[in-house]
Amino acid sequence: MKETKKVVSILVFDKPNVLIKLIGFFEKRGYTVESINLIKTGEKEKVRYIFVLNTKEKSFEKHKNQLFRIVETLDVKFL
Amino acid sequence: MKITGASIIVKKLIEQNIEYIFGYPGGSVIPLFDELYNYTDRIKLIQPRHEQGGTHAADGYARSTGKPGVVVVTSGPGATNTVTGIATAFMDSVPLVVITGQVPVSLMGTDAFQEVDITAITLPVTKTNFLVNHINELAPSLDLAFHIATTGRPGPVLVDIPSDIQKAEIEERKIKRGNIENFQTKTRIDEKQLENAYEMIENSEKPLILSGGGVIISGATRLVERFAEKNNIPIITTLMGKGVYPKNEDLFFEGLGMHGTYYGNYAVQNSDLIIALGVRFSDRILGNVEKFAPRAKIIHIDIDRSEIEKNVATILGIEGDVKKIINILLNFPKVKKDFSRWIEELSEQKRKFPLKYEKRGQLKPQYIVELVNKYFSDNTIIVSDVGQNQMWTAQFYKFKEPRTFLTSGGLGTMGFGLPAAIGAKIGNPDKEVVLISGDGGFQMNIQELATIRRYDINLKMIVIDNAYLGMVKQWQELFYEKRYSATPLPDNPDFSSLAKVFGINSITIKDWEEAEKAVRKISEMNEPVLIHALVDRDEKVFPMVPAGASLNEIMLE
Repeated sequence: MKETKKVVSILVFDKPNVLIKLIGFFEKRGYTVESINLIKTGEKEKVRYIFVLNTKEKSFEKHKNQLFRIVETLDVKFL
Repeated sequence: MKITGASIIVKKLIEQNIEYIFGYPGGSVIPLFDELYNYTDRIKLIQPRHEQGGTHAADGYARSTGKPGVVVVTSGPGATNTVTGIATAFMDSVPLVVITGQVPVSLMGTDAFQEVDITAITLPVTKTNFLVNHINELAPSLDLAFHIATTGRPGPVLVDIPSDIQKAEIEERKIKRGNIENFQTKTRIDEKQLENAYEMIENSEKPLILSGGGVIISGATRLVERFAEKNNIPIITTLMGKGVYPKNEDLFFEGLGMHGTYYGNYAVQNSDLIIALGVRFSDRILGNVEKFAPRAKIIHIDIDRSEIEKNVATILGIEGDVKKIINILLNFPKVKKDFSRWIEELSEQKRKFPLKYEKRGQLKPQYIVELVNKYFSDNTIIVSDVGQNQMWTAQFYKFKEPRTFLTSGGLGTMGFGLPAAIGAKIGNPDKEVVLISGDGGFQMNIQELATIRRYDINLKMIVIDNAYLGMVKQWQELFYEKRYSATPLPDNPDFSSLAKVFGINSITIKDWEEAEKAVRKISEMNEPVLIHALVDRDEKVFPMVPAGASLNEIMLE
């Protein structure tokens, strides 16, 4: 199957280790992380990570819900 | 006025109405234990003989009471010894707050004595964790830890507190509160979805309620029973869901999955609408996921949205507290459709293929479970270990009350039973607590017999001794040409004598008659006691669905 590129924006409560959890989340599910950007939201304690991912996974949408198993996840958007 | 970090911790525990902590001291928590020493009338310390035992005990306390279990241990090995207990609680959604000591901030990262990066180690097995490296962060971290552990889908949270933070001082008025608004779970329930669900039930021919651990956690047991009875819908439960038991027993078809009942699995495979409440569709109930419930649409109701669509495709996923949702569904009129033919179909399967075992020859473990069911009341808390003893308990004990079956479902932690039973008894001094363990698992936390003696914990223990790691042996017998690699335990100690060494009464039983006498006797005793049951070594757990097979490929013997 061909690899496709996905861009996902994840708003999180900013705590140490959140980034590690997000990277672990994607790696466990067969994504490779191409790049990560951190964007300050201006809101206290909240930051946004933009992940560029490579994946062969078809049902990408179902992992959107599972990102909320990480309690710091506040919002997930596909770009 | 200034107060210390240790004092903040104790004040927060009192603020959270914590009555018991399960704690083991060590170099990095001396300041905290010193502070606890001032409050022995408010917070009772239960000291296990091993941190793993303490963590399972806190877990048993939390599972049986619904209140958070609190563990306090030192850094390094103290912290790593809790990891199995934390993972056990994480898999079964049990609220724990684990407070670990850490080396002083200035030594962190230097491979100091008893230093370990416990927040990194526990990242995948906690809901979240905190490393408190400034006194200002201590109170907010503890607020958040208790909030996160106990709300939404519960789970363990770890707070790592360096010893110098425990000693540091802060002006009391400068203490901040944790910003729990960042971690609020969704409370709004979409009524339109519930109307859809109701309509689907109305249009189904063979609906089935699949009730899971979430129903027990949310306190919805009686509501789910009522919903089933009102609409005449059959129920089955998962292992973690045991405790739901409708008064109309004709609606109840027990368990499903690898060691479920024949008729429970039949119900899943023939239903056309499964209403799944607080379940996570683990591989142990699914079997082959492609062939799971081939005729059914699935409505999945769960407080954790990450479970919806995770393992099975659903026609309708509803995020929310199952108690609130069933309460709303109970306001709908009774479903007009008559499901009595479907119930009759299932009852016929139940009559044809009941749970059974041979009631002759050597003493059978299932009989002991039935005796416990006979001589102990319905509100008795039954704690199992992991393996055959767990499955026999699940199959042959009739659980009729929520929070009466404590078992390591997700992680399958051998050694869970004994300490968890201790925690359960501490949380429920007015209820009987019976441990049903195997000989293998019992030896994995056997040091906690000393804890029973110290606190005079009136616990009834039954060690089912078949001198094998029976569940693995069963797989070897069935699937590995009877090559019993590493499963025989011919050199087990005499558990009866062992109990006596710890100052605990014991009874050894070898046959059916002795079994009945002994179980009746312990049901009347008011002190800790152990039954050492020498049972048939070749008894297996049936029915069984081989790993990865479809639920239709169930083996009856």
